[in-house]
Amino acid sequence: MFSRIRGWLDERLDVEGALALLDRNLRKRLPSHVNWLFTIGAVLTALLILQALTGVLLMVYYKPSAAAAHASVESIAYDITAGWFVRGLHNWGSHLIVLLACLHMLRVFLYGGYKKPRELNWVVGVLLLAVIVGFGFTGYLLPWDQVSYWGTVVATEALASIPVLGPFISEFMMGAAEVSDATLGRFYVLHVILLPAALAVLMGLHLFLIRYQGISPLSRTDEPEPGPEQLAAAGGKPFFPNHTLVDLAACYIVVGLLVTLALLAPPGLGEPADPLTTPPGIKPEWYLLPAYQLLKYVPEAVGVQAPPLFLLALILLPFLLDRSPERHPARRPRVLAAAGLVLVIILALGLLGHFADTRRTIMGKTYQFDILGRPAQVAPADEVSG
Amino acid sequence: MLLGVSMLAALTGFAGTAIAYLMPRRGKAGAGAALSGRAGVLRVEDIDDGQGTVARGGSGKILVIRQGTDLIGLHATCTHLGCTVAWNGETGQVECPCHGARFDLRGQVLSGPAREPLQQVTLVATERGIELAS
Repeated sequence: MFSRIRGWLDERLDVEGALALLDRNLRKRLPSHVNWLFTIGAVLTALLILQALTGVLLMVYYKPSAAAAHASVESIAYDITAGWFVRGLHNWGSHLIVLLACLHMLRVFLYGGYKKPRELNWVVGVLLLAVIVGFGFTGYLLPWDQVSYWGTVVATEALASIPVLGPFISEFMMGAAEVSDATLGRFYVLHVILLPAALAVLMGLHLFLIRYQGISPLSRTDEPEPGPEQLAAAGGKPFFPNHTLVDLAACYIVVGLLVTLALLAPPGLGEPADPLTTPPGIKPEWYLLPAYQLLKYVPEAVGVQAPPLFLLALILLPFLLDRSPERHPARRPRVLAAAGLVLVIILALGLLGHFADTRRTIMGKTYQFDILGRPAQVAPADEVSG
Repeated sequence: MLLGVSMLAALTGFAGTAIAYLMPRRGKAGAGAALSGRAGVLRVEDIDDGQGTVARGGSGKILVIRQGTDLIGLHATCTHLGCTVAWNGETGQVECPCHGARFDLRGQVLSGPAREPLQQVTLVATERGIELAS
């Protein structure tokens, strides 16, 4: 029976040829430096598929209107069977995806994978990162609680500070003069229709280019890339089954971590959004904290330029900022030092943002961190009253 | 050539329609209507002397501060990044909880990242509640 179906399909679609092509591609050898760090892309793909599945489940009960959104999320979290778990998977999944996307990009950067002839795939990767952050940004508003509402207000108002087009972009995104029901509708459509479509197209292109161009070697860009025989002689393993098994193992570990987080730390839900009262200590998601904290130190017209300029710098990296033919990290000390400095600044801003406007006890002493992240030790009397 | 131009015209028409469809609708601002708080129409007796509250009125949010028989009104949207400011009766200042901007009773910037003042509005107490003066 199976062979008859196969024969029928083969007559019309050349299944044999397609399978042979797939087999040749899957068994391509990888450079010998490929290690566990090269599994992040596969893990990301697995998480994005899981995210789509949990997202579809959440859509069944979620109501995208200012009047009903918070109550529908509350119902998912507390009434519907396993709703808390599905929401937990989706919530923690979004954090892990952003984290792993950044790590994936750092890995590609470290190994010089963005250099000729793979510049286009690097640009596609940067766009994918922007889409992933877009998912986080639009999804953040959907629970319609105080934190998500005000985090979105600050971000959309920051856009308004962009010279010339800023106010139009901000109002166009919000669909009104302020974050409201109209904003929620727009963000929902972006989150469940437009961004997934963009993600699917970009992911398809990204994976195609990886298979078509192969994993980047560590040799200089002006040297010919090693062929299958040279890769085999250097100890390179085939993608299938060798590396695929490592990919699978990494997927199991990360999905296990995701399930554990969803089980042990299900996301909470704050008070419903109240446009008349901004609660103290409002903060966006951790990956937007560096940009948010920067806005406290510099004028907003300057601060809001930082994230798009950062993305632009990433896109221009292989074309303008690092055109040397060297790929090996040991032979690119200046570029790595510059990137390290940028990374330290981003992490420092994120940490300042995390501590800002909070009271923490560190090594037995209590500190009040002001809005700029500066600590001031709290006297014991204040500690009791505070 | 003709086919290309007609396709471009069709695409432009479709994109233009989509943008027009998505353009935000503007509310009508106006004086005369009573401010509304969380519990409905805002009246003077809803605010304790020396305290303030935020209500909706005109085209946005208004911070109403009561000082004896006087009512002081300021636009409540922080000029820095749009958070809603609040009146701090202890410090006698208007404060933004997001990035720490501080303003005086006339809306002038005292400190923090905001550069523009909060716009003042004139309020009147009527039988219908607190209203924006025309």
